[in-house]
Amino acid sequence: MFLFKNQEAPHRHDSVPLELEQIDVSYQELGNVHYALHNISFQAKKGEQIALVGPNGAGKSTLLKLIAGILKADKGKLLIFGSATSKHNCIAYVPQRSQVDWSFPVTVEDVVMMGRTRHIGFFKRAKKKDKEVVKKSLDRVGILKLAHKQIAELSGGQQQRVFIARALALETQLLLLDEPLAGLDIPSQKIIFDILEDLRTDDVSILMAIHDLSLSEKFDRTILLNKEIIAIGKSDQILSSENLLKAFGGKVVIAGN
Amino acid sequence: MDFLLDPFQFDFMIRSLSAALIVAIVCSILGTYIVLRGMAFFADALAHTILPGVVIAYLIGWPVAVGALIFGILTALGIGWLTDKGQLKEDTAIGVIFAGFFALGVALLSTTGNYSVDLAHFLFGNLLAVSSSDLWLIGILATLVLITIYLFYKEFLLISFDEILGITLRLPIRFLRLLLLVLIAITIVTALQVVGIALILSMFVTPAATASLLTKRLPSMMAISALIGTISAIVGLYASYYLDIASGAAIVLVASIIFLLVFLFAPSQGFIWRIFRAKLLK
Repeated sequence: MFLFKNQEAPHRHDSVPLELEQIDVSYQELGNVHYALHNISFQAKKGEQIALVGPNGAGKSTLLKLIAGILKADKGKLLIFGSATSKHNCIAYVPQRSQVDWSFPVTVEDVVMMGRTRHIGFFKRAKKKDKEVVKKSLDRVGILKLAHKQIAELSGGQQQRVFIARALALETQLLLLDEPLAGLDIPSQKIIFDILEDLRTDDVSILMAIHDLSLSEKFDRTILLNKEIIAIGKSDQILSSENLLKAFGGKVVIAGN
Repeated sequence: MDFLLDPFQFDFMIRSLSAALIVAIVCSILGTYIVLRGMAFFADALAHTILPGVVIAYLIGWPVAVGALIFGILTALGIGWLTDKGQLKEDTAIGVIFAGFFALGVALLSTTGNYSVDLAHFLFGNLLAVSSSDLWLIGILATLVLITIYLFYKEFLLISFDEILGITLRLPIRFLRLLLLVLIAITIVTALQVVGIALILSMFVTPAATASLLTKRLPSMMAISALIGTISAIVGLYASYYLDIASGAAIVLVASIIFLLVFLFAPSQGFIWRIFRAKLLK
């Protein structure tokens, strides 16, 4: 049956992992059209790590969900490795920690194994290879010892790493993270960045929403977003006070600069 | 020994116990998904909306299960249709359909001569009247439900925990959701004679809720839930026989008492222990 077929569209080797062209996401309120995202165009290269910054309500989550295929655009073109996003299951989306039901009766290992669902296929159980991949993914983010813990027993940083391990287990080519650093202390944040650095060897492209502007220097490029793309490029070049004023309005306080 | 064996010198008691056991087990296992997905209200509504189907089938002499199944699936689809465009919240849509269909069922039934007795049987079950063909049907439907849960175990787990992962993996989410609704509808049909429309909800949620207090893994939650369902069915049936109380109600009462005991005394999360520990820490 077509429902149970697992087809990942081929990745054309001349295509980029992510390409957006004039994307609009709009909603109607009291007869007026509002844009959640307007005229968004950019590309991500293989293995490139991009930070997404902007004020609350700038559309960072909307953009990530759009790319993941959870939301649909009203206008524009969105291609993953040269074809429609609905044809791909190589995209991993790491949700905000507040959106996960941590009391759910699953262990760390169970959650990471969920990333293998497509590889295992319908009506089948995890094979030896799947178990090895899960183990390797857990080891890579440094939580192998926690494999049999229920997920509520973990610290915030460890919980975030479970979802990154799940992304690794599904062998993602495009990793989307929605504010994974929110609420984490500095050591836990550093661990996440070390993991991202380690992922460079896999050529995984990363798009990550962050709140702390100063962290954007760790990325190859930064997108400054406020419904539209205000600026895109190396963080030290685009985070000018003029651009920041445009993105954040009068609300920005540049601490420690 | 006589105390234990005495009830089963009657064939109808053996049939009743078999039916109660099958229904308790399948309800308890499917119930874990209902509890985890927060679908208790939906399941209760579905149980009530099948009444017109049951009555119509009963009046034209069809197997009651067929009518129930048709209306159960109609409801599941109807709720999906009413909420699809986001015009109504799901619990509102459920409430409207729930009350309307149930009223239709009562109205249809009131046209018959034996109104109050029949209504009582539909509402609270008529376990002791389970025939061997009823038992066959219950067995076949229950097997079907359990096999489906087994086949789709990891997908149901996934969409219950993280539907967004299901979307990014491009799983057929709508199909899986609908399948779960149909399984609930089928299970309600099996439980109709055992506990009746009004008490089915308890078979779904009480054992599963009890199990959720005792374990933090889904497979063991399912196993414990099934065990509690089994104990409730057996003890409830004995209670019904010796105390001469309605069998469906007896089974539900036993399940509720087990829940209360676990809620109070569970090793790690029990109410009593938490107070005790809080006192110790002072």
